[in-house]
Amino acid sequence: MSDFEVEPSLKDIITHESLKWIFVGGKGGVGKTTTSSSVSIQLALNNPTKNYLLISTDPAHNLSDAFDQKFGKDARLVEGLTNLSCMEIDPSSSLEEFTSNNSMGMDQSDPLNGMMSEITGSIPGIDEAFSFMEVLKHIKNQKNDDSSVIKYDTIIFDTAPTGHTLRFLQLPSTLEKLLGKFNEISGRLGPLMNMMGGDQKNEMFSKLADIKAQVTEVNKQFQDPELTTFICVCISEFLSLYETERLIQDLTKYNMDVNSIVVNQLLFAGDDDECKRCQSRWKMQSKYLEQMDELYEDYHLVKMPLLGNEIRGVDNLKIFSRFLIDPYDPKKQKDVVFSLTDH
Amino acid sequence: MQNSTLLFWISLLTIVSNILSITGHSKFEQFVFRTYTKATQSSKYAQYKKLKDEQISINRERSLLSAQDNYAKWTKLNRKFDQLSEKLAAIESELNMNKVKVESTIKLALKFTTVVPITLMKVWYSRTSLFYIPQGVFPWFMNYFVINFPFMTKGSVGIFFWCFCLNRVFWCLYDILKFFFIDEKVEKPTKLNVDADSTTVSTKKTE
Repeated sequence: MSDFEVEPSLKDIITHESLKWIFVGGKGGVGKTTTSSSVSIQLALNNPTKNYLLISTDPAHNLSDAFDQKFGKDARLVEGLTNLSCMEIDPSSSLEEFTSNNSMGMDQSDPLNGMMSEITGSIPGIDEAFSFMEVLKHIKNQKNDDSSVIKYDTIIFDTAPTGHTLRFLQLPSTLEKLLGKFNEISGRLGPLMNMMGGDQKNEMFSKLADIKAQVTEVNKQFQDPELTTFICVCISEFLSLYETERLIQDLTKYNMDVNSIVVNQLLFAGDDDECKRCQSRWKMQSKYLEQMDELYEDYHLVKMPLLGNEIRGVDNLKIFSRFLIDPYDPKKQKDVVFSLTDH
Repeated sequence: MQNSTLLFWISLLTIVSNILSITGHSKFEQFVFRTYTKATQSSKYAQYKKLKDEQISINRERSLLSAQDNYAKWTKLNRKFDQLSEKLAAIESELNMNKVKVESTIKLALKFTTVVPITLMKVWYSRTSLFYIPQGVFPWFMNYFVINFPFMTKGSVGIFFWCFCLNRVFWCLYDILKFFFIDEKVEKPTKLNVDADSTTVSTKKTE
């Protein structure tokens, strides 16, 4: 089977011309943000003519820490790059924007209104919903011919550590069903609602129908392997692998394309290594790595080294992200481990 | 239809429907369901059993492995197990739907063969006299008002009244027979023992 070996790098993804959505996800603490930032940087460096956007859907944002730069709810260019922007979606401000846009004549200073927005802001899954609305906005912008709005060729999602990612992906189909039912009901009760509510209801229904069309479009795009892919990030330990396996099974059920797994924090401690602890841990890690090689034959299994320092700042990320494309060689590139610049 | 035939059929149907209500519709339905499924659905059940056995053997194999030491093999067994669970769930839902369908059909069929003919006959032959009681058997007001209850001529018994009498006799006989031959089991009353020291309440069977 050596003539059809899947190469252990993300070159496929970086050079893939038609990809529009890239999700990076995995259980907590495995290096999702580092990986998603690295993927974005490599994409930006390899395709200087295209625009990229990295969105964090994690309520505990850390893109700002990763890049050593303050980001907000509006996309901001990364210092040092011309075609990569980052966005950290803040649910409370998105909520305010949302309610002010759709106030429907409600009194803004009404205390009841404030309570409603507080309650809405604490609904589990509200972060995913707002990230999703960003997605919808972006799709609308793409169809927009207005040149003042920046269009992004690919959007990379740095997802939240827990199962929220799956809930986020489930949103399109759930919303579709919800909106479908709503449309049905409104169609039947239409004349009745006209008598009661008047024009406001009509406006709401037409907006909902609009959203439904967008949601269906998003659903279609997320299930197209030419447009969307998911990169699983894990470490070489039992629980992380088990979670990755479950994540992959769930993603396959959603028909989302998964073909790459990034294994972080590998020690590559050879027999000549002085640290006995590193050697013993590396033994445990290689045991699982072998099992993964057998289990995920058809996947790009990218093995990333554990470096001596935190990977923060664009320069360090550039050094680290190289290994996503050219696999790390522990014998030749041992010096990299201690070569990270302090910021 | 000739009066005698009508009499025969209505009596038969009434008695049959009463017997059915004694034995319980559900028992009859289940009996029919079981024979029907044995005849037609046995292949599906066989498939279900086969998959279930496979799943149990995979589970056994999996529990013998250590997940940490044989991660790849364990995960592959996991995947097979999940696939089988999905298939089993699909077959189960199919079988359940089938069961529901068959049971509702049986209920409908029962209704059609008992209740509907009786009602139809009652409506269609409401004015037909089944038979006549000779004068002198009952007091005059019975002949005038009671026996010929709905709209009959004096002294004749119609279908409505006949059904009524049949039902009453049937249930009276049933009660008598039940009283003599069937002993319903009555449970001994249990005494609630409220413990003064603890907060628990235990039940103690009376001697």
